Amino acid sequence: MKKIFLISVILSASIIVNAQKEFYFGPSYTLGASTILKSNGSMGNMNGSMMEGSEMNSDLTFTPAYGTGIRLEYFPTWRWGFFFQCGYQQRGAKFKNYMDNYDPRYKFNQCDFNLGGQFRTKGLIKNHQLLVQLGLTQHYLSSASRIYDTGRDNITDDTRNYDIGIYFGLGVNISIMQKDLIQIIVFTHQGFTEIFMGNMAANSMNGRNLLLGVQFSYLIGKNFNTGKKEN
Amino acid sequence: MDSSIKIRFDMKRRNFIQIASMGTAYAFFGSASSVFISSCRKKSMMDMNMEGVPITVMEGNFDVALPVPPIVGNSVQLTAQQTTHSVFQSKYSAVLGYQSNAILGSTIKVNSGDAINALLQNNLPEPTNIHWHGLMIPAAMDGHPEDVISPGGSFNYNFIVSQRAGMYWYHPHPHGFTAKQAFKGLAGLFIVNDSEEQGLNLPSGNFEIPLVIQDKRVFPDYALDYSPNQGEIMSGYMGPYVTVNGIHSPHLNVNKRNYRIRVLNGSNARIFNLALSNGASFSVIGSDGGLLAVPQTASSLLLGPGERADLIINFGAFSIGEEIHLISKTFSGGTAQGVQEFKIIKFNVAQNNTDTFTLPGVLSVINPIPETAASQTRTFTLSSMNMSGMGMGGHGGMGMNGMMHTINEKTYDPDRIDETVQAGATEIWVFDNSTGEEPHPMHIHGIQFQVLDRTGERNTLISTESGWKDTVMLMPKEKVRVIMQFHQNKGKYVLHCHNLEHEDNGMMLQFEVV
Repeated sequence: MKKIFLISVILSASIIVNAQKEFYFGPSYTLGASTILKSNGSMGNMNGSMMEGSEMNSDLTFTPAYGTGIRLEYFPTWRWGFFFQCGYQQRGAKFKNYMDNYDPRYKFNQCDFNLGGQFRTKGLIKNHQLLVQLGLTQHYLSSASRIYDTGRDNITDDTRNYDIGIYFGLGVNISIMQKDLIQIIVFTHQGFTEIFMGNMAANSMNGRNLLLGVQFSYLIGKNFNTGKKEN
Repeated sequence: MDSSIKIRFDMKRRNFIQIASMGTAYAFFGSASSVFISSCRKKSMMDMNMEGVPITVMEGNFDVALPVPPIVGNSVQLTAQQTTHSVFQSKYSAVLGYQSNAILGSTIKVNSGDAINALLQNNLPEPTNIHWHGLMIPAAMDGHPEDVISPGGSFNYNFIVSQRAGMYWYHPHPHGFTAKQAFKGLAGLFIVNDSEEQGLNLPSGNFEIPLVIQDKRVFPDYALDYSPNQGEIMSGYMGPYVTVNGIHSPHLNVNKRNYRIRVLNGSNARIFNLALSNGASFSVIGSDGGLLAVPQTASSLLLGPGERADLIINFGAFSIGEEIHLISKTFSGGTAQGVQEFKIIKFNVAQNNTDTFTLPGVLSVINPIPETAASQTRTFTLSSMNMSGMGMGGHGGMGMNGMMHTINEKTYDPDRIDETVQAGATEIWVFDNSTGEEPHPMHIHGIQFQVLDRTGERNTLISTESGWKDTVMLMPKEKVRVIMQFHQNKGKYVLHCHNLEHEDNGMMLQFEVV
């Protein structure tokens, strides 16, 4: 965990120090939907033999998620570049078909670090670009709760406090004011780590984080290259 | 290479960033407000749906052996804490307990006359205390709703048990938190023995089985769910899973012989109409305050929240291999209760056993308190009122549309003494639910009473009401008169509805013995 964080920081610093061509940074905001993707069908399923008579099937489904952070991008070449992003991400999952008229949900407050590479096309219309991004994502859990209509329970002890996953995004850079970019990316985070532990794990609950979303960034650009851009 | 990063903000860029930030903020707050609005819409729907709607009980397989809470003596430490417990087989539920990994506290078993030393350590993040339900003890030890122990604090309950044998119980009583803490697991039995009961040679040891019957609701991850909506504050909070001694759907292997089955309805609001699935009758030998004068034969027995019943079931009358369930039969009790028959626990008649027990014809002597001894009659009218804007209620405010349950059109106020009673006085108290639409199990702290009569809907007393009581059920359209002699323990006590949502919602008054 710490190693990945350290590598991320060193790489980011290296990108900044050794900047050669294009550098962007700025705030980013994500809106999306998250859930916990089950490893098997046991989670939250109250139709087990023990619960005979139950008509509930309270599997998990998507719940709204949002986040915000700071994004850095560095392009040593015109087409290929790196990105690093860190910030707050709220995610979770919602139980559907609960017996009451409300659906309890899990809410995870996390600090996310995303690091990866990206490829961009040359401008299709004026200087606007298409982007493909692939990377790793590391989440650190700050708190986890079960939220229901009249309150919340702390379930941090039953939730793993770190998660490593993969990040994939497709998007566009909209060039404005010559150097800056509005970046819109449709992305997914898929965690690799079993997130439940303690009582949750003992109750056969299992699953991995999944986040689907759209990220909006305003990236302030600096071009260090005196050469001409490819067209 | 330009190693310094110089970023010049011209006005256009700054303006753009400002506009973008405002847009983003709008997006966030906009989504938050839409969630809020949708949740409000959901709540009003819940209110409409949950008023008086029964919660269907889900039976299990009855393949878990019944646990019996451990027994401790007159000196005990109880640590109120968040812990886990297997309410369901091989599953772990987040619960509250008086010890780790248990949902119910140990059974405190003492003799009449014993001095009790019970240290309560509060490891909860909220106040708690203990009310010794049914015990006639000094006010300072009774667990008055305002005598609470702060988080991290402790209190030593010291008192002498000066009453007859019986199965009493203990549970939290901090105003506004009672229902939640009891539902999540804080409760335990308090059994008093005496020489009179000893002389009857009632079934004991492995043949004396306490059953704490409760209903629970769990989240899909099995944590106990206590989240009453406004409608459920009015009707009482019920769950679909009926537990016995903290376990859902247990069984007990019994021998072909008589068993003493001591039942506590420890539910917040659910009423049970106890019966045996094969229709066999059983003997009722005791009630809240101990043994009845004579055994009563019954084929069903209504037990409200907080009430106890002492039963003799003769499994010797059944065949080896026979499976008999203790069930709750349907009954008439408002819109939210009694519409479903369900199984509670399974008894497997497993083996023969030599049984020399014969149920005595006389169990005890209970001298009826003559009505002529009463110096005063007080009437407590139970009703629901719209208290909008009055800022009352301990259970997160008022119920549906500002409705609250009241006694004599009042809700609980710790700064108000509602009734003043002379120590040693005999009084008749009338609980009047004539206009009520819901059942109310009425409980008086620090005293045992006798039930004189019931008029209205059922128009009769039931078997347990021939003995000493501390809680009495009032179904809708009923009026019950009770008589009692107040003891010399002076101080502030409360009377309240033992539907714990009603109680936390303010259906409680304060009386002072002077």
